[in-house]
Amino acid sequence: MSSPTPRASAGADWHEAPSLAVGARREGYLVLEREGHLWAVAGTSVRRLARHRPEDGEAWDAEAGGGEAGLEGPLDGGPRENGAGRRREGSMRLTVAGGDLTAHRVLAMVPDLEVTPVPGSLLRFWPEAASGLAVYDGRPLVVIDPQRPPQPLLRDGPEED
Amino acid sequence: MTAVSQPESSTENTDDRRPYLLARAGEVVCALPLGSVRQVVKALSVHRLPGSRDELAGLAEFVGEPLPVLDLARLVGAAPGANPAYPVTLVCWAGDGRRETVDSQELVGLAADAALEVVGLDPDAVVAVDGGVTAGEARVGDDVVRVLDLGALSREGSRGARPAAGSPDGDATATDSAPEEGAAEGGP
Repeated sequence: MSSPTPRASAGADWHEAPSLAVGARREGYLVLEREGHLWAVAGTSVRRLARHRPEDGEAWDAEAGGGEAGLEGPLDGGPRENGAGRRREGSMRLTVAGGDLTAHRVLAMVPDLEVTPVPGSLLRFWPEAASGLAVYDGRPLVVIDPQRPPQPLLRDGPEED
Repeated sequence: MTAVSQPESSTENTDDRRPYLLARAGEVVCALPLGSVRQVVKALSVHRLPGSRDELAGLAEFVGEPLPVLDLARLVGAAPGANPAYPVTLVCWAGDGRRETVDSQELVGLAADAALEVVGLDPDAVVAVDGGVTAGEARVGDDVVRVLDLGALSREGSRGARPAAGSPDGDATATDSAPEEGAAEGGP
């Protein structure tokens, strides 16, 4: 994979993920993890994918889709301390039509997910939009609607105590 | 796996009685139409969804499919019981329980304290109440139970949801397993 190219970035600390190998056609789904929850987003809806590395000085940004192969392993930024002394997980930022998603890790890119419609019983008690539900590695997840991403993924920078 | 059985016999006229599964949720005993109960299983591992209301315990995986799991006690407004771990999950069809309409139904899990027994209830003896999924109340022995209408879960608040993949076939309702009195497999 080629070296990241400096670009103007919305955030100063966001960098291209150097091991990013999202398929050029970006078919399939990226499986994300944030604060222990799994989410999936259709690869075709991801416009950019970047890693948050505040310890580096330069800002990098990248468009997803530069590679050919699938994701070889989880992408994450690694834990670090923020200014307040709280442990701050490394973050991945994915840009979709509805905004920038922030996740701890991109666990995988899978060629397909068996996506089921969101049941009414879920919609009744969860105020977010979604494209469907699926199971990855035995764990349930929400497939996000790229036009209306859920608020928990739009919040800036996951933190842990 | 299940504690779903034939209704208990009664000395009264049972012609109009319909089978219901009794389940304990906190301080309340609920009656679910037996036809809406697919399985009673040991508590599924639930992953909470951030931003969800308290009634939604979270998402679980059930036979390879995602399954929303609701907190039955919170759903019916019951005070938490002595065993808030909810060791049992009732996997139910959120519909009217009739097999001929099963294609329009969806599965939902209900986290509960225990599946108790199957009883026969006369629908005319159910006193209607205005309580969301609680269709009414009925007397079973010395106790008053809340009769649930799980169809309300999919009717209200649905934003055009369609049935999940793996919709039930005609044998989906687990009515063929003989129950053990007073307890379900997967219980505490």
